[in-house]
Amino acid sequence: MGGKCWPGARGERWRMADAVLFEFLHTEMVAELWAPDPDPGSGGKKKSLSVLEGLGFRVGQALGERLPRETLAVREELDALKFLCKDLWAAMFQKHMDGLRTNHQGTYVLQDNSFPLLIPMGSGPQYLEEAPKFLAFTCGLLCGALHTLGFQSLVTASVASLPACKSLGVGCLLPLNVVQALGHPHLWSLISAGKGNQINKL
Amino acid sequence: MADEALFLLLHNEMVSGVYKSAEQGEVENGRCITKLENMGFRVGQGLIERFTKDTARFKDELDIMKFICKDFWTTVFKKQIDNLRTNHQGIYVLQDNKFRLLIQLSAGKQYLEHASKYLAFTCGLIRGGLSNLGIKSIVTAEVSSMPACKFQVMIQKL
Repeated sequence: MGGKCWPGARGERWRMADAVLFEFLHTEMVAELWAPDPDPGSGGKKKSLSVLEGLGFRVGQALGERLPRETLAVREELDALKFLCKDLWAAMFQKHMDGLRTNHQGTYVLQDNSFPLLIPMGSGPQYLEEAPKFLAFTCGLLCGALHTLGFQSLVTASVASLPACKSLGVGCLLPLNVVQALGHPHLWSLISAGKGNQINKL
Repeated sequence: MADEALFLLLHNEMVSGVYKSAEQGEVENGRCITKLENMGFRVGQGLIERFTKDTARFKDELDIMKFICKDFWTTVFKKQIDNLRTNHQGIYVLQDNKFRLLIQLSAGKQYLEHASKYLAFTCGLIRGGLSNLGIKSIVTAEVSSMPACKFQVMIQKL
């Protein structure tokens, strides 16, 4: 009979397996944990995504410890952000961040044109309102990794709508080539917390 | 290194998250264990679809169990099951002498009572994987000494 052959080398198989396992586990965590918040703030308002962000924060802290970062010791803020865009993103999603922009006052915008946790949702406005649930964990992850590197930060995420899709109406299906041309810009904004609009150094 | 740790970290957060968000009485009546097991079931289903799309059809029940012990376990836990035993009547015992989700706990008996929290997801993982290979089963786990673990698979006749 045909052997149980795996595509690619051993390393590639494990990387594929790790990515798949993480994606499925992340989906289960979103489904199970996004709603309840044991500590609603004043006024009883529930921050429904804070639990997921908290989980991501701790995972990000631990990942930040494990990734090679000795060369960051004497460097500046921008190098920490580059570390997130390259090393952390490669460990998480087997790719680099597509874009990094900054106003040089402590605010950075990290852009991923095809964020793996959102790809299965397809393109179009159908799931736009659900998308923030699948971004909260990653926001916490980035915040936690920065915390390990000695920076305190506030991380938010947004999904840009497709302009062409809006004009075509709700629930439309775009041809594949158009989707590829437009891409899926997903933005993470790192906004400094505290005075002076600078990232607070611990 | 970091890639391998990601699943461990996520699993730890999931266990603590489910227990933190537990409502009154959910811990006592086993609802939390059920939640974790059901999550593992769905992940196991999804994983088996991805892992077996290039694999030849399994010829019998034992062949499926060997796949779980070797390829499936290696992709999830980075090592093979150490021991597979069966009575050839539908009961299989899978023994992992250094179960990866328990290594982070103590090596003694101090946290033995909490071990079941960290095994429920994997029981569901096995059951879900077998389910999508056409086998209906009940999977239980037991720990006699950390970090060794035994998963008992009882295959149900359809």
